[in-house]
Amino acid sequence: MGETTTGPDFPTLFSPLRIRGVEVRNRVVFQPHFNALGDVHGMPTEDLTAYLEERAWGGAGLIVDGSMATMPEGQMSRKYLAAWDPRAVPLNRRTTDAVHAHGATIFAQLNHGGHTSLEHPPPVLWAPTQMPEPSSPHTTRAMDRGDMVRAIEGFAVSTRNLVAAGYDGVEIKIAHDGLLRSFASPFFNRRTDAYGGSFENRMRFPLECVAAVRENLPEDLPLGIRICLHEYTPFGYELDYGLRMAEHLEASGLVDYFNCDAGSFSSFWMEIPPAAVAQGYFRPLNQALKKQSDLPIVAFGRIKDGGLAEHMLATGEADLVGMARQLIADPETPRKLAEGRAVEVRACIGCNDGCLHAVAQEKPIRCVQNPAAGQELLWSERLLVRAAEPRTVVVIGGGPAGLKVAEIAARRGHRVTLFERSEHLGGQLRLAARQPHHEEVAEVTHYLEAAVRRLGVELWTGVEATADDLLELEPDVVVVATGSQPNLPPEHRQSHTDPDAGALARARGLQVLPEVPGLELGCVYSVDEVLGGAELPGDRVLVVDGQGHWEAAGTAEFLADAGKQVTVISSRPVVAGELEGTNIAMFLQRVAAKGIALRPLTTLLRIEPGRARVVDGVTGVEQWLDVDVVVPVHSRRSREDLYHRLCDLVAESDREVRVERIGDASAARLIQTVLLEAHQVAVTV
Amino acid sequence: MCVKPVPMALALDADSGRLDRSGGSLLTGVDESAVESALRVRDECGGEVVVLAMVPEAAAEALRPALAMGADRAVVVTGAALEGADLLVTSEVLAAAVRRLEADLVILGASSGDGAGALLWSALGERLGLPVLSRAVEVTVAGGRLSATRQTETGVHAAETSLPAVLALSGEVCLPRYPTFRDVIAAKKKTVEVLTPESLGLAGADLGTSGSRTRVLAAAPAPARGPAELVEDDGHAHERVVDFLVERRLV
Repeated sequence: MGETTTGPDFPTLFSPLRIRGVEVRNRVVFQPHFNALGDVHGMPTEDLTAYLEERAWGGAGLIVDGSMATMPEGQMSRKYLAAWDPRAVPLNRRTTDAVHAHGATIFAQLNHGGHTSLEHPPPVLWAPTQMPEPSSPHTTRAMDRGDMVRAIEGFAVSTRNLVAAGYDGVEIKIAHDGLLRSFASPFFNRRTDAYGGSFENRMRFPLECVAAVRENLPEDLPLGIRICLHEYTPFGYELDYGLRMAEHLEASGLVDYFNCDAGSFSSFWMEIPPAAVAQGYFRPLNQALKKQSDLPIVAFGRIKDGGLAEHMLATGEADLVGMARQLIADPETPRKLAEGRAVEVRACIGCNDGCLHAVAQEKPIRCVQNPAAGQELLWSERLLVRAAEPRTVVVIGGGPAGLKVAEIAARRGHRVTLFERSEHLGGQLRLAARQPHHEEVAEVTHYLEAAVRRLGVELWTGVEATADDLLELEPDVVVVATGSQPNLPPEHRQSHTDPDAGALARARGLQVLPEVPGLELGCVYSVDEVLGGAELPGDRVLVVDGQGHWEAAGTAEFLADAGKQVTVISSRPVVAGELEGTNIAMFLQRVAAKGIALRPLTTLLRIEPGRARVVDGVTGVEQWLDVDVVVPVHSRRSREDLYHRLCDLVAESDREVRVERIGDASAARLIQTVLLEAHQVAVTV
Repeated sequence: MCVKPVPMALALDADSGRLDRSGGSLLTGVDESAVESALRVRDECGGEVVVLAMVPEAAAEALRPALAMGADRAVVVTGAALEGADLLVTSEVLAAAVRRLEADLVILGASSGDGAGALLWSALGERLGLPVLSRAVEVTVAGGRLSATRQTETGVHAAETSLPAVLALSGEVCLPRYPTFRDVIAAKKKTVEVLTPESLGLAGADLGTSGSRTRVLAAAPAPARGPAELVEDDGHAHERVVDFLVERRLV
């Protein structure tokens, strides 16, 4: 069941590896990560079991479940799995059985949260020395010996529970968060007793915890360490110290493998690096540890490409390759690589919008590329059933929503025809991919386009469908996925090239235009015009961020890179405030470097040629800003007129045609939402 | 004008060693460009454009885009007896169809996207006893004559012949037009005329595998690609790339 064959293109990736007494079928590791699929008492849910089972089914060799907390005081979030609690044992057994059934190996990772916390932290945080983690508002309690004894006992109890639940090994986290790294760290550990002061003393408590785990593990089960090799902070340790930690741990003889890691909560964009960090950026860290260690090494850090993974293994820079987000985006990645179907792999785009952004708020994990992530029981592609009666499905619009509905409907056996009015598929993603550091967003379209072509969807590009003639195609279902357009007045220049597709909706009171005087002026440029390559007059550009996501922020960067003097205003307290944490952190670093001026709590009142009137949201003081170009980014308007005309025609006719609107044609939203919506519609067709 | 829809997924049938044509097929860019050339000749000189293909019936739908672009009608020659036909048989069948259609000008793309033989136009000209102009990149039809600019290894030549004639284009020589939505709907309503070898007077003739002079002795899937070699750039990566190309005599 679920056995993957040896992939001739990836011989090393698909060779087995023995770690202590356990054989792992291939070198692909589903890295441990907080997925918020525990319940509010830290018990694993059925969703969690299904989430991990899906990756085992997809061909991963080793799955590392967790992190799991070793005691209540170490539970960073309510939903952080409670390994110490015996009630979790049968629930974890359900997971290990499900994973084993597909031939994969499953370890669990143990962590004490220490000075780091997520939503709903424990009442008090523990640390070697009293101080908050610099990115955190919570200070800590300095542990005494009694606390240490209890913490060590927590590791021991938890290990026994994990063994009872059927895990094949245990990994201990001395990594980007948690108590054990804070003990090892010269910055966080200022103790003068036997647990601080010298390197050996700082490593003493982590080693006592490691020993407690080893003592409670059966002889043949491996013990690994997830180790932060470089903290990437101005005050923290760097690679040489991380390597020294690893050397010391290895010398204890208690460790069977290392799983590489970097960053800390104060540099969390290096823990879970977004697309702005190059793929394979951390390879020198993996290589350095591999060079000094005799143990198997798991590589980490934005590895999503099978070719790169094979190369890293074949050249000996690691023994296993960790993938978390790539397997969230496409659980079947290993199986596809092994079966010579690498072209079918759906790549992670490194956006962090579905995964990290959700779990940081204690919401269940999701994925932009994979609508089923974290809700496999509802939407897994394994649940797709062939339609009893193939129907004729016509999709209008070849953006992400239209392509997704076409893909899923075609997989279910329907006859699908898709019309796209432009000469290329991809919709707004083609523009979004032109923003700096956003090339990978195009992989959403690459995957979908390849999929619909493979599935034999009849594609017409450069063909604009009209409501009047549509029923002549005798469709059973029409899905309107015509997208959205910048909501500018019809008198604005954009109407010449992108005709107003909301006039009918406005006449019926279903849409309104924004009430800012001057939006029709020639100095106003839409984001679509800017990213489409319009030649802008002058150098001074005002970007109005009414939406908080990349549409404004990325366009501001695009303009700054083109040499413009860019100011971004937002009515809200933070410009680009809807961005995920690692993304906004790195965006703000680049804003400084690119000389972009940010003015939060500032609202646009009106535009005149050469200037814009704004008001300060705190003081109420109004001011003219001298600008050559204004780029307003407020809610886009749905291109919904075709939908309304079609509904009218169907009502007048005697035909039974189901008409759906999805994606931005329904309401302008982020890709993740519209892909799930498209999937949901397609399974009901 | 003759086209050849190509299977979307190129896979060999394990038993016969032939290409599996049971799934969906598509016109290639070369064919779409040939359709465009035919439409331009018609728009200039009048007449009608008939798209002709010899395909299994399942692939007849692949001619629909050519109809949407503006071809007047489509004709396919199909039949179980044609399975496994080689160049000689195909040219015989198509020649019979072209005679039936009484074509003044027969246009073909340079080569098909699957077999890539690039010989059919020549065989067709021979069978029909018509002059052949090949490798054309620019085409003009006027006063009952066909003139073309030919792109060959030795340069660009101008050539001219009387009609009727066979014209083979050189690759994707022009950008195919986009149909309108109305055109697409109209194309879906057009019928594709189906001819059989019998209806062309080829009944009883040796066709298909039995009539072909070409035999597939063995066919095997291409060997696995094998692991890719990734070259890390330490300042000398270009040398490694050049060495690689020289080793394989690719430069």
